Amino acid sequence: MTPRAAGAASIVVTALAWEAAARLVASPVFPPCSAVLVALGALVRDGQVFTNVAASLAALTIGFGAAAGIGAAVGAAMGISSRTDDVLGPYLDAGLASPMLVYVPVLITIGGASRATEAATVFLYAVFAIAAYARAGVRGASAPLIEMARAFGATRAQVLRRIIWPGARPTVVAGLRVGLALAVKGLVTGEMLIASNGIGALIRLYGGRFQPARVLALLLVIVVMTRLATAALGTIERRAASLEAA
Amino acid sequence: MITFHDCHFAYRAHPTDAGVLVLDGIDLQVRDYEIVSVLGPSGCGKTTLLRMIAGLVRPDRGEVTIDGRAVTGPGRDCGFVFQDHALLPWADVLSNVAFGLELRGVGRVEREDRARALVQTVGLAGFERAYPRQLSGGMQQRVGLARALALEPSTLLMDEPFGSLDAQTRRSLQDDLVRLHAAAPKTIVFVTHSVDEAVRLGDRVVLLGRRPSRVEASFDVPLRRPRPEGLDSVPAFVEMKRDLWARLRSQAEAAS
Amino acid sequence: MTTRTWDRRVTPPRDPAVWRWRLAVAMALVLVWEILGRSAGTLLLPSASATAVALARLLVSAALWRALASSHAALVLGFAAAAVLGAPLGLVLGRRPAAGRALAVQLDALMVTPMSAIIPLVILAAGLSLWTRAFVVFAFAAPVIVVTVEAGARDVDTRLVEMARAFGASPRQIARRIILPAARPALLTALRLGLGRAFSGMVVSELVLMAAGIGGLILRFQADFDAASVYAVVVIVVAEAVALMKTAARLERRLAPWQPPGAVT
Repeated sequence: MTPRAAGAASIVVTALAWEAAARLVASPVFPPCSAVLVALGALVRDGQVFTNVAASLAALTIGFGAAAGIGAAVGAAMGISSRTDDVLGPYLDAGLASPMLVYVPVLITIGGASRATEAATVFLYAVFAIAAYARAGVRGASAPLIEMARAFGATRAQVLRRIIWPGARPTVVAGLRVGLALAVKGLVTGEMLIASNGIGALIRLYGGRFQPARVLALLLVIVVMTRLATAALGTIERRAASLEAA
Repeated sequence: MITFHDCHFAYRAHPTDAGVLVLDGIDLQVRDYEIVSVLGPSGCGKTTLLRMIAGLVRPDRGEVTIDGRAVTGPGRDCGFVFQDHALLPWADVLSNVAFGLELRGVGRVEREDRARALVQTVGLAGFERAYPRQLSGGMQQRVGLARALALEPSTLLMDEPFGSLDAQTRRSLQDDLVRLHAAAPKTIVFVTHSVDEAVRLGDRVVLLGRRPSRVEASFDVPLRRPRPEGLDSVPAFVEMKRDLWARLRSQAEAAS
Repeated sequence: MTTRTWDRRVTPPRDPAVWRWRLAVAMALVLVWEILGRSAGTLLLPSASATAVALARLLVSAALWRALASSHAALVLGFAAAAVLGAPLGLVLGRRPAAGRALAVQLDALMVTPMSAIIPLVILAAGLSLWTRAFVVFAFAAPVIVVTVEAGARDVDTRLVEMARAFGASPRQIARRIILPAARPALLTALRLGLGRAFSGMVVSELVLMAAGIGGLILRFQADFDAASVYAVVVIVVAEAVALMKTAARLERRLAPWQPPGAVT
């Protein structure tokens, strides 16, 4: 069986097991898979999902875009210069260790319960992991290869472009993936706390209205959304790679 | 005595693969207390021979017997020394050496006593509580040797044990192995890709062909033990090395 | 104890100027914060000094310690359950590749799913109790523990397993003497990452919909427009999170020193 087929089979089995378990338990808070799919259909039909997903995606794009740019740049700078690393290291450590949502009340005091605050939340969730991966990638660049390039008379810029960047690239990309998953978490969690629209706000709404099937349907939407966003990131990455190679 | 009876073996990445035939009818005898060097091109199945003796793999066809009894699984009277040392990184030298004894349920005090004596034998006294990462490659392999000796096996299986060491360290470990063998003779099957090492250590050098391989030839080393100092200028030694080199070269030429 | 040559740890001495740099940057940041805070007015952005005063007041208040106790009860319960259930599951999945592959999709989905979204469901099921919060903590921590332990158990050096077999180890002995110790670094990493996620889960559960413990304290100060106290609680939470992670990382290095720290986060 190919991995793809195995994955599909695994999903089908999970759906069936979920259906069976839910019917067995017959608890109002644990709706079966079929009920969730029906709820999803209803959400799609009345169009609510689309407007709210669109609102969420805007915050996600801005927040994650900023986190990717700033995180990768600062992380790379920390990887290259040990002085930068020494000075900023404690902040990166703190950022990685912090439960990010705790900063949201602080953001609210500054930006109010706005979309900007929402984007800032997404940014905070993603930026530290992206920086950490970028730093590790740049630091992991092969010292013997750098030595070799120097011996062949490469300038600092050339070493950066020809040795360090190709070596660091896979790790930086891995960091973007991790960062994207975190960004979605930040988006949803942040919206549940502050926003009046967006997918997190919808979850809060239907949770409050005792509609667990709709909550789970929205979770499915989030999982699919994350998948699509990751795929989009992969496409962008491949594009960039082929442009660079040309 | 270790005997290979027409052993065949194919390497398979998966149990259902057709596989790559590695050994194509190996017939070989190793006498008690003999050191047999096994020499051959890379990928010819030298290591597989050792793994068969140890019972880690079974031939697809044919069988390996030790003193007439067929090898069916690991745990027999063999000590194994690995190419990459395979030391437990979380255990200190003493615990690594005592590993086999521990598996057999020997009590802590006794196994540590025996391990300590062996650590001394291989020249690592003072490093009992060091961890593998704190040791050089040569020292790590001394630990590997002591670990194999701890079970007092009658047979020692050595898989390119000194292959990754620098020339000087390598020589000193070779000398130690010869000394150990003289003091307490064991049957040793020594896989190597160094002609010099094969002749220097072996009573006999077995040459394997290219994959799928058979035993191509077996040469007795015409040097009595203890071997003289300054072996490098002994004509018999130099000549045998030259002959073996010629054989290996013609083997390579025939292939290309 | 005498120092042996092999026992000398090679750590490059830190440049003493580093601390001067760090101090300078930290002081500059606090200064900027203070100036911004004073110009914006304490209602919007409390200054550094106002936050410090609020922090001092908070530290001697019973409300803070009651909130912390309540939060940590959920943290301990949820994290312990995640460790006790997650680590063995990870070990089994890592050593049974077929099982690991069968659950890979689900575990992957759990890793990227925002667990906060299940909070409304958990509340529907169990109400606003300590157990609800503990369950959220569990749901945050368990996936990363399972996945990390699984990877560690899967990547056990096969050469060591082969070595043990050559020395006549039984499958049981291989599990106890090779697999478990070899997976120990991954296990410790898993617990550290899981603790970080658990801490997040604790904060998220308290801020979103439940208003309990330390998160509830934040929400209460927020409702009172007491921004300085909000900041002070945030400082406390972050300080504890950093201290916890640092301690865990140190323990990890101490208990599994043979593994160079490899993970990025």
